[in-house]
Amino acid sequence: MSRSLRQMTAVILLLVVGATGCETIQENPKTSIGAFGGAAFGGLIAAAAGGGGAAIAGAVIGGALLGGLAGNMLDQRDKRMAAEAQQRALESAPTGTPVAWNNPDSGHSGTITPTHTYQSGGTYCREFQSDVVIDGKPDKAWGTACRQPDGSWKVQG
Amino acid sequence: MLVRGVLAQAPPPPDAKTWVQKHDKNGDGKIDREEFHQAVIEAFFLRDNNKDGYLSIEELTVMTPEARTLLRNKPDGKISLPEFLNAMHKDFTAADTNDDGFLTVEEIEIYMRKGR
Repeated sequence: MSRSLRQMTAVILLLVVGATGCETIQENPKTSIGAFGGAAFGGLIAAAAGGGGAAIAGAVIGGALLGGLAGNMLDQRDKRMAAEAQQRALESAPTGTPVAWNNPDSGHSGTITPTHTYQSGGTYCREFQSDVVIDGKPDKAWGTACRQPDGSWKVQG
Repeated sequence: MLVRGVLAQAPPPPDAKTWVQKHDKNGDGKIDREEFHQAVIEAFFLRDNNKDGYLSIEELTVMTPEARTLLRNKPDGKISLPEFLNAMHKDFTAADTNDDGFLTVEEIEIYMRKGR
């Protein structure tokens, strides 16, 4: 699936989430994207990925990148580790260089890989890919984040 | 000088061949303007330690001839990304000796030797 198509799918998913509040990804009934609509979310991205046609939604909560599956299946420590990895990756990793996180307690792991860097209105923005492995199952999500004045990275979408 | 300037932004500094391989996104064995453009942005970002959107003299530890010229005309000693891109593309033009719009490993190595 091309990046543009994925991004278009992401926008569609985002709109669906916003419109319905609670939808279930058909390919995985355990994964609800309804939680993405909460006010607690600092940003939201969604993307579709391959893997047998399974749709995957991604979300960023307080700077931590979470896949749609991860939205329900990552624990708090997973989320914190993913957020820290995301911050390191976006702040200082060269394009194409993954920054990994791994929680031995949950067995979940992932990487954040910057894929493109640019400036928008004098603000640094980076596109990135997130890979997560949950219960041995790999998933991917894509997004764009822009650096905030306080040094944090806010995912666009 | 061109590649030394750009390469110096991303540790560890690779040689010209490694640098071309890293930034040759379409795999044609050479660097076109767009690939070069992205490499320069990447280098600028990684070198901008305080992420203020500018490179200072201290951050721009290795300068190309065009960057040096640019800095001479900047009393505040700070270079924006558009300014840096403009300077680096001039270096691209200077290194592209056959004027085909691509930089090969050989052209980069020749340009690097000239800059020493």
